[in-house]
Amino acid sequence: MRVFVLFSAVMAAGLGLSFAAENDVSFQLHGQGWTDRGRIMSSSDRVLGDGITAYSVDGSPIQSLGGQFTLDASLGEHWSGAFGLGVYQVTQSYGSVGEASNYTEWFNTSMWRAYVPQANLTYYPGGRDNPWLTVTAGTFAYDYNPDVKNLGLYLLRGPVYPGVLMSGFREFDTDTSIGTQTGFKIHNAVGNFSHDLLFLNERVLPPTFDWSLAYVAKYRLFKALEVGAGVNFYRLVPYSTALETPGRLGGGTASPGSYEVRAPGDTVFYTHQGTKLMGMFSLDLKRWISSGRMSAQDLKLYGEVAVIGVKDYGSYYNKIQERIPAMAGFNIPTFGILDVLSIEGEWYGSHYRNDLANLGYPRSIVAPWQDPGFGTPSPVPVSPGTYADSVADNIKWSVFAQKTVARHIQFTLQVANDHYRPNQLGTAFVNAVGGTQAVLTAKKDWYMMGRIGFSF
Amino acid sequence: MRARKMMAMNVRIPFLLAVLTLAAVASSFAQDLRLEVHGAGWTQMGKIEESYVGLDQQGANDKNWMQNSGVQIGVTAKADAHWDAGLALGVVGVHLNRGSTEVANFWYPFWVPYVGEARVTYTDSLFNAGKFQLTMGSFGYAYNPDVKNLGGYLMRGYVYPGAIESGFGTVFGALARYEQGKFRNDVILKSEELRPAYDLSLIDVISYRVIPGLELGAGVNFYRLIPRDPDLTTPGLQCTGSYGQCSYVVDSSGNLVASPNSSNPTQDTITGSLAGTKLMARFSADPKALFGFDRLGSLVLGKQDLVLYGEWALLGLKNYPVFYDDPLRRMPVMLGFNLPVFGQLDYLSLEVEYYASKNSSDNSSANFCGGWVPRQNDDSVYGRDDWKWSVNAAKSLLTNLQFSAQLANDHLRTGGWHNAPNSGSEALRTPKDWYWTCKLAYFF
Repeated sequence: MRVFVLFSAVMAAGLGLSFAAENDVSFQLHGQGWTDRGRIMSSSDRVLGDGITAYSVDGSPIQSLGGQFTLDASLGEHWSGAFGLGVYQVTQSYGSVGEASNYTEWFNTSMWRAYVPQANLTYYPGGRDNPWLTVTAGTFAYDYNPDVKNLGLYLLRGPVYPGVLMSGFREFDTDTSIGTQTGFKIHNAVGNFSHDLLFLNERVLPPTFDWSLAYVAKYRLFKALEVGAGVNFYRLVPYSTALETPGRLGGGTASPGSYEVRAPGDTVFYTHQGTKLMGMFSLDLKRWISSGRMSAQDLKLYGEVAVIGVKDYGSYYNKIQERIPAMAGFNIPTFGILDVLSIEGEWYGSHYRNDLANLGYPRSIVAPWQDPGFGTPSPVPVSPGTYADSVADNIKWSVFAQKTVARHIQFTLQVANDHYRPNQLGTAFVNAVGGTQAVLTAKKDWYMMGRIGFSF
Repeated sequence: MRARKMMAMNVRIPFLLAVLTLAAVASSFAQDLRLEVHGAGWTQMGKIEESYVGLDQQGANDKNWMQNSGVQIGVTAKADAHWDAGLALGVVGVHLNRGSTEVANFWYPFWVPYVGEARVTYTDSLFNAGKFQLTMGSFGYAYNPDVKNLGGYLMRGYVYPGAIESGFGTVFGALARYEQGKFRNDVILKSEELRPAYDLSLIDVISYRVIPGLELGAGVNFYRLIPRDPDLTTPGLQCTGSYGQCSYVVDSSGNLVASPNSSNPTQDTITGSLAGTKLMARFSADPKALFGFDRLGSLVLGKQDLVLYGEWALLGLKNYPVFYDDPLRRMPVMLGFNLPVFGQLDYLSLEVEYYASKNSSDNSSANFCGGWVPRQNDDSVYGRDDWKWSVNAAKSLLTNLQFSAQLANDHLRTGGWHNAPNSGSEALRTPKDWYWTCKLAYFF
């Protein structure tokens, strides 16, 4: 954080000078509001991360609403800024704990949560009219693969060890339309080539405040095909070296399983640090098939593949082929009836649970009244439970449809079996459990969400 | 402003900054739609002078101060001739109810953000005769604009138990409105947020302006018509929670049996449901318009002066033995009158309500277990909370500043103490109980 504060101070000083010199400030207001309603139609998982407590979110309803305002400020020829404020409603999950719904139903808590969708400054060395290079600092939105509606975006979503994937319907920690990234970004575009260098602070997943260095390059050719690749040196600069490799911690603070004694003198220490690789493509087939009635998104084929941790080590991470998720998507032509109708599919051969329980991050509605049982964040995965078949959740799919009317009002529907991670279930007035794991673990599991929203 | 039972978030400074900035840039939208920025800020303070919370806590709220302040900013956006949308975000400061001195160390303030509105609306003419509107999302709705405090029975609170709630809420759902001349009809599909949440209620409200100065209205609420989980809304013999009662036994005379005997054929087990039907009727009469005068003597009357209004409701069409056996005891009725203030105030109203329910006004059994049976009434003199009253006054200063005050013995629920479940109790349950509050608000 010291680096960030120092950089901010320098930027603020520079900005002050720029303002004095240019004194040319204008604003543009943006906003969006939405209401959601949906239902988990089938969820087979019945075991919490502790492997003991029976729970279910099968048939649970989902409802929420929210909104945000953002201001884009033009701060002279070389600077722009953006900040915003948002509020949304968050509710504990309905369902059952210990085969009974009396706790989750009657202790269910719903509350409002405020967030900052944007808070950043951007510098244009060549001027705003010639933005070949930009430097952005703060909290900003970043989406290297805008074709993705739900699955994918592996490079910047989720940890490396364990290789947990993250997705869902406009989940706040995965939604690329709001400022989920905090740090710095340098963007350069020359002709058909563009690339981004990012230095990002981990502010969601424990251990927090580590810095990651990522790079994404993309190239467009034949006006229809875009290919890209990226690398993420995840947690390259740790906030706490001791927390990074928790198995080395002495005394009683070491997480169970964070190290593995293979032979006398040969101990494997698992670490949160790791390297992700990513490749992607987007092919706009309608460039070659002339049809004036097609929507801008129709007939696009896109995909992404990643390696979640290039290093094989220990008994948990000894098969790289189990750490390679791949997804493909296709926008079915609707000839202007819809903005987009996409179908996405994903394969990921990991046989561990898609569960953040060993890291922590319980997505609590309120701070737990009692110790929820999470200790030092551990880089080892959660083993499959009774209901989390090691291969039943390898294939994911998502169907996404959106229709805009009057240019600003959107109707959205998503039906999916993805990595949706519901909020905690209430077990008392304050206490809650769950919230760390994806709950669609079988082929027959799915949920649906609808949204009415507007943006300007 | 009703205290919101949400998480503490101190975001005062960012929101104030946003208000100032939004005001500054109201004319700088480079958009193809027409935007209007609006907002409000307020500070409210008051005191519960006398209270009665129950046998165990008696007057625990006596002399308790209440205060809150907040801001709200919003935008209405007109996209084209048919579509418009609204978004409003706010933050309100909330103090937990202090209660008795024994728990005063739990008394602390916190800030709660909220979404005041997030809706889209489609407007069109219907058969070139009337206006049709379909609103979807989350939005405010008040069918009785005269009401300052009491009334509003159709949309607020449960049916069984028929505990009356005060305050103004929003509707999460959809509203279809048809207006033609003097007639208006609103059909609402509302997602209930009281537990069990997300049941859908279907509501119809009509208004008809008979002649200038006289408006009549009526409504029906098929409360929880479409339950999310029928077993929660209509629980059968046993509640799924442990804070209330979902069935009881009566003898052949319809009297409550304290110790049921399952082998006794003359005893009958009564089960029921949170679902039910509410009916409402209302009127608003303005003698100024009815009889065509605008002053008394030489004094010019204000727009709201002399307006007489009232509302009646039936909370539940169905009778159940013992607790809901008399429809007359499920009929709240209120009457309000705006005293003549001749422009010195915006209004000065007096509202009175009569509700002869002999059941407890504590709705926590429904809220914590789906119990449609009322909680045991711990007040042996159950009739002493039948009458409610409220005096309200408001005065606008300059163009955008309003000072308002309220003195009342109403259905105030101060909420539970820290981590306390008993938040369904009313704080004012005897004739001598009352509180006052005043508010200074700025809006644009």
